[in-house]
Amino acid sequence: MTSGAGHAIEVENLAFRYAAGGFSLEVPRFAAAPGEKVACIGPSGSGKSTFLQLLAGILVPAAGKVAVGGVDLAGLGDAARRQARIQGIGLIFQEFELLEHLSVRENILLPFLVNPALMRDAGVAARLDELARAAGLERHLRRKPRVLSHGERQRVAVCRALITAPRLLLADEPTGSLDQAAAAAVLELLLRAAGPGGATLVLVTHERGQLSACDQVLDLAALAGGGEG
Amino acid sequence: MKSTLLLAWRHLSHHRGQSAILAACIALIFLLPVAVQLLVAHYSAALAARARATPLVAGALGSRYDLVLNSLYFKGRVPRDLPMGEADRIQESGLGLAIPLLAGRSARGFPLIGTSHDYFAFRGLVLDGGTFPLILGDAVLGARVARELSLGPGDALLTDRGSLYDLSLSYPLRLRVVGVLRETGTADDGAVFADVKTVWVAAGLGHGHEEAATAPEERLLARSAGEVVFDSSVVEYVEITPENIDSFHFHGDVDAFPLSAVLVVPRDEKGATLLKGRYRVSQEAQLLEPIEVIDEILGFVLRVKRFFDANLVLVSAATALFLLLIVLLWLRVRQREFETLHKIGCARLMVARLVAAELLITVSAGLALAALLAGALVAVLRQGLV
Repeated sequence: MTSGAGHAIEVENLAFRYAAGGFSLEVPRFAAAPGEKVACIGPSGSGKSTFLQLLAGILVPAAGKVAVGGVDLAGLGDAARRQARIQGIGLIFQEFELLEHLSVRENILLPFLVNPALMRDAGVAARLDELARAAGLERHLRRKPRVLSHGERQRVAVCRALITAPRLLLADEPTGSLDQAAAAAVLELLLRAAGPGGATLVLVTHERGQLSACDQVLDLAALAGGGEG
Repeated sequence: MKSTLLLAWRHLSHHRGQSAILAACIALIFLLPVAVQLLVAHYSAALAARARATPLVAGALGSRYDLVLNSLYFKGRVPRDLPMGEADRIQESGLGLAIPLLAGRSARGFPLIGTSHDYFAFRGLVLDGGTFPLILGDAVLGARVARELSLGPGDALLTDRGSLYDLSLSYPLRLRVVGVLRETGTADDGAVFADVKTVWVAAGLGHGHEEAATAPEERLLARSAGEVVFDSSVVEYVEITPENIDSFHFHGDVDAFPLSAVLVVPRDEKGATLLKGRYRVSQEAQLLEPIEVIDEILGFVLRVKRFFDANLVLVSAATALFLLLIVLLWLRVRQREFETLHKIGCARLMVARLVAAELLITVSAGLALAALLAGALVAVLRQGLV
């Protein structure tokens, strides 16, 4: 576990409980350095997705500190947390969550379409081309997601997360619904985006084989002492 | 704003079937009241204009509504006839111009109106081609009749028999089309006009047949002073031609022959007052100011329309609520999409703007469709097709 100044992520005494009750998450301390690849594991219901949403500023902890890039998200208002998410965090979901009525190109550019605060300059177009090439999606840019395979769709979702060149990449079981070959392609894309000089990656996974590709493993079940799933 | 509209348009065009149904529902909600308003306004204006242009109508005592609707718009029938002598008496009084009208018969489904030349001048009717009726058997067609039957000067058309199986009725008369009237957008467009005497012949009150002098002797059944009786083999003419026109004649007192009404154009205000006074005490006939009768009818129509309007408001409100329910369900179905947008940094306000833009485009399309259909309706009304 990395700690100290210049952390990409720094969590201290984090406590979260859903308003409906029942489930709670506590993380005493966790930190990740810039470019570090972190695997977040734990059984179903251990709070992996909740932890990612806390890191993304979508959920707010009841107590503790969740700092991303040195900014404590817990102390920010809704608009500021959203702004921090737009500027520096890329999210990838297990079920892709692509908009079926948009083309692949428009799906990748979605963060720019829905966030007027993001400037869409010439660099974005170049980045789109570069990402599409890297993900093998150049031929599909004008197509609708429904004609793509699951693996291709998830690669579109990865490109959407990377188009804003985020400092933090949060991937929630991105290969959970993919076959082995497609999963490998998606994982390769994510690992290529992370690393020194790149984004910090927090990868929620059930695949033991993916742990070796990461620098650090955060086991939420161990933290909670085998706490509720 | 541009990207909001783009995203909204993309969503609507992706679900084009649902979007089109929503837009059509909105169009119908708006079109129905507009259409009713247009129709009522159009008919009110058309009815009132013709009534206002007709100072007085004389007819037999009976329903005022039937008399006015029959004599102005050629609709329905008058329950009793007025004798031709009544028109002559008005004319001879010098108080106004009397224009005889004989409605109630038809030619190929269109009202056949017997009248005089004065009618055309009074209504300001002009010819698009041909001439006005000059002799017995001539007819001019309203513009719509000519268009729908594809007839013009030089053609002919048969009058209709009242009943196919009533052998006592006269044979259909073959009318000679001598002219076509220019379109006016009034009831005149849908009528066939002939001289009153021609319509009397069509009604069987007058006829033409072989001359008694030229008919073979064996057909003669009886001969007395001023009267000869032949058997049924004597040819009765069903068309009035220059060759047989002189054989046409009427039996009985022409003064007692029927008219359905007389349009009266009073000489002046005094003439109108005198005529109205004269008919006020009549036990046989009545003299009406059509605009008064039409105002009464329109009063009924507007009262009914008020009920219809109230019904429309309720139906529109119910439909609008139903649409609202559909929109709410539609938003619920899209909850996951909105959550994704929020997670990738889209503000709740932006999502609201996105939904608003989609609704705006749908409602605008609905309104545009309603305007288009209303425009088409107005065009149809102007052509007098409704």
